[in-house]
Parts: sequence; C-alpha cells; structure tokens
Amino acid sequence: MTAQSLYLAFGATLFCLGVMGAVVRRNMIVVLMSIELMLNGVNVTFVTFSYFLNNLVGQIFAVFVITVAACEAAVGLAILIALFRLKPTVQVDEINLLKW
Amino acid sequence: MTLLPLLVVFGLGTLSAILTISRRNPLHSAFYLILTLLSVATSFLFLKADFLAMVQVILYAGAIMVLIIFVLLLTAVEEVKKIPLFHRQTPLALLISGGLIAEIVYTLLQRRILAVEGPPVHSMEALGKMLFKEYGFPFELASILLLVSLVATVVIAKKEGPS
Repeated sequence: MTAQSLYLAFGATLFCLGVMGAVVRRNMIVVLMSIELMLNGVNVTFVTFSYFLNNLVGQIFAVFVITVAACEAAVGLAILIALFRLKPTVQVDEINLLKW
Repeated sequence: MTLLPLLVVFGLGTLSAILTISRRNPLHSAFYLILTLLSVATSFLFLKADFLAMVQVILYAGAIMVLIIFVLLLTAVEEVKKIPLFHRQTPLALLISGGLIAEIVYTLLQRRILAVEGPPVHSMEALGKMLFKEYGFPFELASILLLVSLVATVVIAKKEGPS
C-alpha cells in the first residue's frame, strides 16, 4: 500500500459515493451535492497524477473543473428555483411534467 | 508511518461523504459535504497544490456551499420526516456502487507505483505562467462560460411576466 494508491482510492471512493447519492436520493438539492462530490473525486485524481508524474497539466485541468462546477451549481440552483415556483416540491420523482 | 496522516484525512473525508448522502435533513448533508470538501483541500496540500487548496476552500467550501445552503433554506417547506428518503431501487444501487468501490480500491491497491522522476515543477508561479501562456485560450473560454452562466442564472431565476 503506497501513498499514490491511497490518493487514487480516495478519489475513486468519492466518485462512487457521489454516483450512489445521485442515483439513490430523492431530494434534488442532495442530488446536486452528490454531483459536486463526483467532481471532487475527479479533481483528487487529477492532482494526484499531476504530483506523481511531475507535470502541471493535471492542476490546470482541476482549475477548469472547478470553474465548470461553479457554473453548474449556479445554473442548476436557478433551474431549481424556477421549478419550485411552478410546483413547490424538491423531490425528483414528483417532477414528471415531461414524462409521457 | 508517513501514511498515518493520509489515512486520517481520507477516513474523515470518506466518512463525511457517506453521511452526506445518507442524512435525512439536507442541511446536515450540506454541512457534512463542507467537511468532505475541506478534507479534499487538505489532500491537495499534501500533494503540494497550494493554489488549488486555497481555491477549494474559498470557492467550494465558501461560495458554492453558501449558494446551496441559501437555496436549501429558500425551498424548505416540506415536512422532511414523513416521506421516504430513498428511491425504490436503493438496494440494487447500493450493491452496484459498493461493488464498484470495492473493485476500484482493490485494483488500485494492487498496482505498483506510477511516477516520473525529475526536479519538482509544482510552484504557484509555474502554474500561473502555464495557465496564462499555453492554456490562455481555454482560460478565456472559461471566462466566457462564467459570463454566460451568470446571465443565464439571472434570466432563469427571474420572475415571469410584467412586474
């Protein structure tokens, strides 16, 4: 067991827990938080390889991932607010207007 | 013995991630998520990514989580005790993602170390130079993306109709 495999295992665990939360939970805001968890797992893996391969590109990609995560959180929460005005619930399986 | 601080930080992060996706009250989930984000920032510090650690604390644990908690407090009208917490297919999802975690961790712990020797390049100065020179165009694209999402957020969350 080396330090590198520990870092990678941490990133993979965060990603899988995020997938689990996004699939399992019914609260829309918790689903958004699970997506943040997945992005953090990816970032841990990027920075780990950036450190061990002695290359800065991984850190630059992590910066871009954080940017996209900020945009995604802002737009997702705005959609949630607009949807909440239409139908006051945050449970994902009660929002089925587009389901035929 | 040098692995001990890593194990403590990773254990804390994993535990609070599990609590994030399993607490009934979404506000508690948000606070446990902040703990996870801070342990990720600590692992960035271990990996000598100082700039990313600071960005993680300021932007993730600060800005994004404040936004999420605001929206949580704006939309908290329902009785959270009564309704079931999880979907119907929870056991299957737990089985699949638990198996995925076990498989990935087992594979990673088997592998030998993958590394490149050489003088360390991880300084904040080198990161800034690389970001503004070689990755200048993606950087500008990211700023346009931020502008677009700013405008889109305002337009989407605005009230419909004449006010």
